[in-house]
Amino acid sequence: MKNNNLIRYICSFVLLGLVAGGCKKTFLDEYNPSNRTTDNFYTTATGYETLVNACYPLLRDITQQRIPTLNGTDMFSANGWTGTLLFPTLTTQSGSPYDAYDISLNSSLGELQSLWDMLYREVNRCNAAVTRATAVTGMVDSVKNVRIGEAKFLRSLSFFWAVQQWGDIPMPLTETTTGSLEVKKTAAKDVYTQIINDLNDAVAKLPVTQKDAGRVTKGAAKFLLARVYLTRGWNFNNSLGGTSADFTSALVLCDDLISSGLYPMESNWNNLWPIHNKNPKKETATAASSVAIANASKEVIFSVQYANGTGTAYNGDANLSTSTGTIGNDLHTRFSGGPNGVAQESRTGTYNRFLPAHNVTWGAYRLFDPQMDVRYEGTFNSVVYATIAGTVSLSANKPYPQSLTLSYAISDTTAIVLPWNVPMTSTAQLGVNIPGGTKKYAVQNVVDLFWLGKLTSPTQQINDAMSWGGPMFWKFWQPGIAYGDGFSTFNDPLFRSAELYLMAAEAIVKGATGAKLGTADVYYNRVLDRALGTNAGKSPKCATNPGNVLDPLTNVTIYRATPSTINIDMILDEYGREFLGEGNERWYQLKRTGKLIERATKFNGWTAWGRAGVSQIAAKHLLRPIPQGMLDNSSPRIEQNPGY
Amino acid sequence: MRKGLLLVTFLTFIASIAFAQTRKINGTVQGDNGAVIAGASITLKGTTKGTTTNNDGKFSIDVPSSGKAVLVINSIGFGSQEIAVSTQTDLSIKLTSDSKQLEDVVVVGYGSVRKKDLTGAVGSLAPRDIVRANPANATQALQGQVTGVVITKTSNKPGQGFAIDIRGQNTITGATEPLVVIDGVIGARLRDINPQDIQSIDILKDASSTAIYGARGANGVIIVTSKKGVAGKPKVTFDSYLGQKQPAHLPQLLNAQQFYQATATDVVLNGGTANTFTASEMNMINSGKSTDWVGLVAKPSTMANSTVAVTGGNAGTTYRFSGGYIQEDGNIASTSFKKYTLNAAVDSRLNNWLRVGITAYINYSTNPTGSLEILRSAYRARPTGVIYYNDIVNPSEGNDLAIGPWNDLSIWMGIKDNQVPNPLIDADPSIYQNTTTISNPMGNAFIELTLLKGLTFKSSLSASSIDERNGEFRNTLSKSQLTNPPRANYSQKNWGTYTIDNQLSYNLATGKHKLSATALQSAYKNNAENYAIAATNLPFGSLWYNLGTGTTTATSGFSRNSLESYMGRVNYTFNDKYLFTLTGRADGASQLATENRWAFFPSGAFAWQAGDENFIKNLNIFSDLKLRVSYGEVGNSNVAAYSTQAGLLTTSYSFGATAVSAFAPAAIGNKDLKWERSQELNLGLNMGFLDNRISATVELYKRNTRDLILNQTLPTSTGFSSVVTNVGKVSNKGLEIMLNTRNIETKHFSWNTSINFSKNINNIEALANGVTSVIGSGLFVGKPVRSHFDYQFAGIWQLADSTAAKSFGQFPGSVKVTDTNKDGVISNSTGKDDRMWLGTQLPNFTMGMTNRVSYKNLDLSFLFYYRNGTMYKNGMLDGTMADYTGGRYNKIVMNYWTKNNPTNDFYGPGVSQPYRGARSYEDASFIRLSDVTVGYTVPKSILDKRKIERMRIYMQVLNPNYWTKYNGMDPEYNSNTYIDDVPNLTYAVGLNIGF
Repeated sequence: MKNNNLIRYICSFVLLGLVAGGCKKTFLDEYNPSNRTTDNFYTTATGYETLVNACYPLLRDITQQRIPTLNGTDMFSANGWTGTLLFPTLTTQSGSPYDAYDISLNSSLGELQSLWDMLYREVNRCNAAVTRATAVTGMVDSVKNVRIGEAKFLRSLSFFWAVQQWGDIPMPLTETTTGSLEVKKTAAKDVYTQIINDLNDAVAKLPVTQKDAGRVTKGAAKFLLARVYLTRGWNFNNSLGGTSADFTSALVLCDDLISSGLYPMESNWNNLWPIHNKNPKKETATAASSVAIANASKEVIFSVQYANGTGTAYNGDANLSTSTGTIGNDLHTRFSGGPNGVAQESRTGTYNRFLPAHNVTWGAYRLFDPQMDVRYEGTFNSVVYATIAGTVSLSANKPYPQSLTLSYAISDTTAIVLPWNVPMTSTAQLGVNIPGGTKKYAVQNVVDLFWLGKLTSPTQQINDAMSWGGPMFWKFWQPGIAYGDGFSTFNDPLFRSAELYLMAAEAIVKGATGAKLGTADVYYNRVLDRALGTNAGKSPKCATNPGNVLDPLTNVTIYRATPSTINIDMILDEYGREFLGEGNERWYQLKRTGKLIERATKFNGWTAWGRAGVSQIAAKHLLRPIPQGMLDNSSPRIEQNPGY
Repeated sequence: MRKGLLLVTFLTFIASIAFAQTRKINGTVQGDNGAVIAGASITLKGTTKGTTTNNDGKFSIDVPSSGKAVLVINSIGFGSQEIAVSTQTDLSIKLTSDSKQLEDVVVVGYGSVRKKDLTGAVGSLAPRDIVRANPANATQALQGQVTGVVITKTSNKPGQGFAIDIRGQNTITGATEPLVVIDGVIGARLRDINPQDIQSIDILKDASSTAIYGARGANGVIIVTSKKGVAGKPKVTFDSYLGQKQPAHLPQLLNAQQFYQATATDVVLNGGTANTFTASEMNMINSGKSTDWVGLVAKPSTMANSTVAVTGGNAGTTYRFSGGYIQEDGNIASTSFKKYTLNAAVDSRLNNWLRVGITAYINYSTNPTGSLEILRSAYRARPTGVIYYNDIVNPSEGNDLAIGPWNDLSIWMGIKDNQVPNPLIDADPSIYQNTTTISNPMGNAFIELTLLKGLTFKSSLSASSIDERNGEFRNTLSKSQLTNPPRANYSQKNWGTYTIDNQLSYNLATGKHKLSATALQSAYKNNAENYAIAATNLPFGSLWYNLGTGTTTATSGFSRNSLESYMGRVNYTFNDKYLFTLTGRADGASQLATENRWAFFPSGAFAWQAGDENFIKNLNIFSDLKLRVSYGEVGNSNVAAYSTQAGLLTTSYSFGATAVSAFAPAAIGNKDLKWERSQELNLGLNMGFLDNRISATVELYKRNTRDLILNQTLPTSTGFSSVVTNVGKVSNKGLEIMLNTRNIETKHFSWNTSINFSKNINNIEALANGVTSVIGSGLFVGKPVRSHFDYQFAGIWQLADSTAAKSFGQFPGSVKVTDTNKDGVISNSTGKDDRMWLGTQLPNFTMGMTNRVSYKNLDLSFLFYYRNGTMYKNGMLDGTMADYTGGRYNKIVMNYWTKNNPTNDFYGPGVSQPYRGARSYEDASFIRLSDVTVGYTVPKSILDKRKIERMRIYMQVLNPNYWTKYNGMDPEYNSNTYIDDVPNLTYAVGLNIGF
């Protein structure tokens, strides 16, 4: 009996002992071996380096948001503008919001929200890099200063894009460490002041060259500063605090970079792009060899890096909900025109994937001289080859029904597009797509592309197995890469020295003084002559009214500049030819120079058509609507830009 | 005491030898259903003397002729009974069945009370209610059967979960799911227990009841008690059913001819551009053929369950073992849920002061879900497409020439589009597989010491380890791969949790006073680990079992949270009429800010058994009347571990060819994060009339929650999109009524009805810093959470309104939305916002009604369930499944506008639709006849000869019909067909047998 009690009490004691043992003081302390925190990692030199590194990858996400920077301009629209637009009875038709500039261009557009989110995500990272620098231990000041310079450059670049899109914007300069719903807008002119101060600081801190390819250099900071001065000089809506002195500041920076000799222009314009064969089946370059020359070009002052194509290289920020999530550059997939679908492999990378978000306007084709300017062939591919053997039945061909069965072998031509200035002149040139055609491939010219006079009703089926939308935009194509949204290892060139000449020309036209090379036309023709190659010095011709497809082909204009002819429109034409699709710049160039409304209406059919045939583009569109998420998540709600 | 007992036994023994004078007592033992019980044991208390009843339930036993004798009667499935015999010689003994006995006891967490003594708001389900509709997941059993509980299915896929809301939405972020306790395993999952193994489910609703679980019970507590052993001879039960699931209640899709009309003829009529069709499609259209892709991928399938259980034991030790198998196949090919369960429970009283017990569960389930895309692809694929390659009229028109055929199937179906490949290909297991297997051993072991009379100390450990593996394989030709080489992922997640409870209990009953007190110390820890490997470029179809042959990337992670608690509870009863409960609990949660970790939550309750007062009895109205009031505080710390830390986000970049590490700030670490706290007042009323033939329970409650934990959306100019923070106040007010009636009760015929009604009003009272709305988070002061805020659908612009339409930039046939501020412009900008509050996903009220009818050996039961007032942004209408603005994909049949059909129901194809989304908001109220069951119990006279104790066979129809105005697959949840299965109707037959 006593024993029993004893055991009982011993048991109780042991169990109570366990209870006491269970309540260790550290029981509620968090244990987190899988992650470090900003507070304990960024204070180390290694940690701080990874933070500055983290300011770069979002450039990939940001620069892949091209819809708000390319579409709705004179050069690109979301939809091709052939076909249905010719029928005014289609009152309900309208282009994409960015082209139509109608009620659908409003705050709920996902692309604007994405761009905004990414830019401010980038700003916050740069802010962390700038503000956390002082607390870093074990890092020499000289290195630290370079990193601060990089972060300030990247922050400026983000603010610069944002201020051009939206005008007055929030301008946080410190890392966000607590959540607040209150948002304050900063006036555009103060944003410009901040950008210019930061860039001047970056110019002072950054080295001329960096050990790592693709890091920001002093040259890149000067380039951006030149562009910022130029933009402020135009002084949009008198709201930027710009003066004519800004043009001279821009010119000085351009001249400085040109004369430094660090960034010589390539002698051959095609060296800037991946090597690619017009017939992909005869391609000899590999994915790696195709971009070797382009990625090493000294003409490129700053580019978004994609050269490391291995799986670890996320396309920027894989955790960003708005990210495409794929790996690599996607430039090769985003522009108009794949093959015509006849005897073609499906879903392969042979002709690169085409997900055309930016279709070249007809006016853009007609800015080039197809015979003299190497950039025409360098930008557009006008021929399609069969990539598999196949049989095509034309029985369903409309509007030219004919019953024909054709067999193609690999590398047979299946379609060509004639240059815009050399139309078909005889029936002998007719392709199989037209009754009586003798060529075993489709031949298309202006008439075909627009079905001019051939269609009488919008309901008529255009279901031609052979026809083709137009020349393929192939400047960025890279052979040998996987089928998908991304995967290109071509470094996206954001700044290259050719632009310095055109910026200088623009500044001089706007009154900048002290040019080192001469008058504006001298700068302009340097860029042109490189593009003319063996034709350097000659006078190439473009359509006088490129956007008007009904204009006679004889109505052409020389685009070599002389002191008397050079003007802003010529410079904008040349920006278009030289940089078509590059650098996320076109919308900004047109806005900067006050030419957006005029040129988009002239070149871009969807902008001209507007809504129900009434053009909608107006001055308010020079500022984008603040994205809905910002309005809805801020409290008090921030003000929308006027007119939305 | 023990000494005394020995002495008594000894003396009795001596006495029986010395005097040996006995007399014979005869008797009959019956169950409460009137049937005689064979094999019941009858022992003379204090002796080893005993007997058993014969087949007629009769027995006879000798007892000492003088003095009082006490007989103890035991039989499996019935409660033990003691009868004092003085002079009687013929006894008629009625035993009460165990289930009934258990029904009268409510498990309240760390203890149980008689239903009569309950002070809080607790809902209970008995086994017959739990298994009535043969749910594969026990959660389903709660739907429509318990007040205050809203169960919503989240998918039609087999093996998928349910959302459980108890008394509305208290919290917004994170799980709103209640705490589930299975046999003391805290934080278990309802899906992990075989419904056939459940003895009772008790749902603790008010703060006083859940207080004992403190923070973890903030969203209510569901306590599951499994069936336990019963002393007696081993008893075997076998329960089984087999059913066929038919696809049913499907929304109708356009056929080829309707598709042509909707995307060509009527588009042109409305002034748009006709869709283009290939010769192959035109052939289908013109020859009156059509392909029903949904019909091709959704087929009848099987559901089945078998459970075998053995129970038994002796007076000191009882046991129960069971093994079960549940199978529920999906209607989509290659999808299935199979679960194997083993359960063992042993409870042993080693001596008069030491008791130990262990309950263990081992579950293993496998859940192949097939391609995520099958159903969506089947809803998207055009009816004008052809199944087989050879049926394509002109393969060169589309992409078919380039890939295909595969097993005679066409890839692109003769359509000039390459977004949705033939759904039959993704449905093939050699092309796509996705399988989740879960093994979950869990268990609870305890040791209980009786220290002094009425004072016990109990220490228990419950542990669970959920191991979830997922393999996904996408072969070449699957929708996402097409011509690319196969890829696969393999991931594993493990949640290891344990809870240690040390409990000291004291019970005292003297005279009219009854007191019980409980003190508890509890510690909980949860470790979550995961890893995943993804491989691309696999050289052959090795599923996820040879990832090394491809290009692999690996990820892994860890998180841990812990909770430490101290609790005390006192129950005091005076005269069985006045009942008091006081509870206090202090909790410390690891994931909150260091200085805000600890919080104390008190509660109290009082109940008055008014029906026992003479002045109520004298009214002769109530056969039962009880009033209850409770008030308490609970807290919620339901945020992810490390929410107070700003972690790092792994990204990467390369400079030239050199890859570099890049770590960005991942989130805002909220260093002020603290407990979300709720105060709840509950008024309860239990009433019985006409000898309890009508009984009703009414609950009224109000719960105020403050420091609401919210994953608040932020203006993205901060660089982040959200932060976990404490904001504002929300209230939930509600009314719950449960009504049970025994409508008819005769010897052969009975009819019972159970009706429940639950209404909850959720309201945001305030948001942080005086903010009145955060549109991005859907939060508006004065409105419920989970609100919809958008443009309001106001019909369709008609031809007669052309001018007005034009002023809004619209056309006849466009969706018209309300210009709320009448400024002539539709805008969502600050100051002229036309969007408005449209409704909420929370139901207005829910109702359930169960009827049970029995006639002789036949029984019938059926359940109706009604949900009123839920609004969804319909995923079918909002997705491609009803997108009449384009001709790429097939659509469900809608009454759309044309120039010849001026309806206001649905917009016109061929007309631009900037406000199409406004049409997607729909009322998802519905009434469902959930199930109908007809059973037959084989008469005992037949069974007895075969030594079978009980046998019932039944037939059942599940989900025979529902009524709703909602367009889509199933109004219960908002599906867009992605990762989903079709709705179904199931016919089943079942057998319950006991030996």
